[in-house]
Amino acid sequence: MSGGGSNKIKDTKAQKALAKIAAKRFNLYQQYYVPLENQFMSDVFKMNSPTEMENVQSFVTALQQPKFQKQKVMQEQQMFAQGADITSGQFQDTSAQMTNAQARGMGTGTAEALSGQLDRYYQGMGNIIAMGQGQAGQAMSGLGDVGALAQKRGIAEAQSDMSSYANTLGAAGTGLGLAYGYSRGKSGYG
Amino acid sequence: MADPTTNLYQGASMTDTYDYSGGYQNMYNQTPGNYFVDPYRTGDQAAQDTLADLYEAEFQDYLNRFFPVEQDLIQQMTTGFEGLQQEEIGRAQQATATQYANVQGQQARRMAGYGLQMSSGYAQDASRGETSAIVAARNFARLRSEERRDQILSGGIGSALTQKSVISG
Repeated sequence: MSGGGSNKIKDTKAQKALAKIAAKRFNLYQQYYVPLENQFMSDVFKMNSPTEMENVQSFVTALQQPKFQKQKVMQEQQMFAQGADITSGQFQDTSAQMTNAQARGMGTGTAEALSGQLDRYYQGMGNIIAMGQGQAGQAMSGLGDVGALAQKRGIAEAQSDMSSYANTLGAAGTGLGLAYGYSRGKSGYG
Repeated sequence: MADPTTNLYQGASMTDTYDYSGGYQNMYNQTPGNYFVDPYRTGDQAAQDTLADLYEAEFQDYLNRFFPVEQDLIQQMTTGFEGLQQEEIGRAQQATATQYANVQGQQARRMAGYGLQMSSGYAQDASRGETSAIVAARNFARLRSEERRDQILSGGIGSALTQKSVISG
C-alpha cells in the first residue's frame, strides 16, 4: 500500500460484467415475470371468495343432478314394470328413501367440493410462498419469455373451464416455481 | 435514477408496464410498482455496488409481495383458524340444507304430477334424514379443516415458513 492510495479492492472486469448481467436479468424478471406472478397470486386469492364458492356449488349441483335424476327415473320405471301401485305405501316409502339418498348424496358432494376448493386455495397459497422463498433467498434472473407467455395463456384458458380451473392453476404455479428455480440456478451470481 | 435512500433504481415506466389488480392490492396493501436495479454503475466497486443493490431490491420485493401473504397464512392457521373453520362448517351445512330443499321440492312436484301429496310420515322421514345429513356434513368439514391445517403446518408450507425468516433474508 503506498501513500494515499485506496486500500479497497477493485472489482475485476469479469465481476463487473457479471454484476451488470445479473442486474439486467433481475430487471427482466421484474418486467416480465413479476406481473405474471402477481396475476397468479391474484387468481389464488380469489379462490376462496364467496362468489367462487357459489360457483363451485352450482357447478357441482349441475354435475350431480342429472345423474341422480336419471337413476331415480330408472328405479321408478323398474317398480312400475314390476306392477307397483303408485298410491301404495310401499311405493311411496321407496320413493322417499330414494329422495333422501339423493339429497344426502348431493349435500355431501357439495360439502366435499367446497372443502376441496379451499384445499386448492391453500395449495395456491403454498405455491405463492414457495415463489417468495426463492425470491427472498437469492437472486433471480431473466427467464424464457416463451415459458412465461405459455403459463399466462394456460391460466387464462383454464379459467374458462371451471372443472379444470383450479387444478391447472396449481400446475401453473408449480411451473412458475420450477421455471424460476431453473433461471435462478443459471443466474450469473449468488 | 437511483433513489438516494434505498439506492434502488426506480424506472420511470415501471407502473406503466403492469397494473396490480385491485383485489390483490387491496388484500395485502402492497405498493404497486416493480423494483429495478441500475445495471450501469461505474467505479472501482461497480460490481459490489450492483450486487448490493440487487440483494436490497430482491429483499424489498419479497417484503412487499410475499411476506404479507406469509403473515396472512400464519394468521389463518393460528388466531384466525377457528373463525375460518366455522365458516367452512357453516358452508357445508348450508350446502346440505339447500340440496335437501331442492330435492324435496322436486319430489313434491313429481308426486303432484301423479296427483299425490307427501304424507306427514314422509315429511318426518325427510326431516330426520336432513338432520342426519347436516350433522355428517358439519363433522366432515370440521375434520377436513383440521386435517388441512395439519398438512399446511407440517408440510411444505410449514417448512418453507421456518426455513426462511426475515432475519435470514
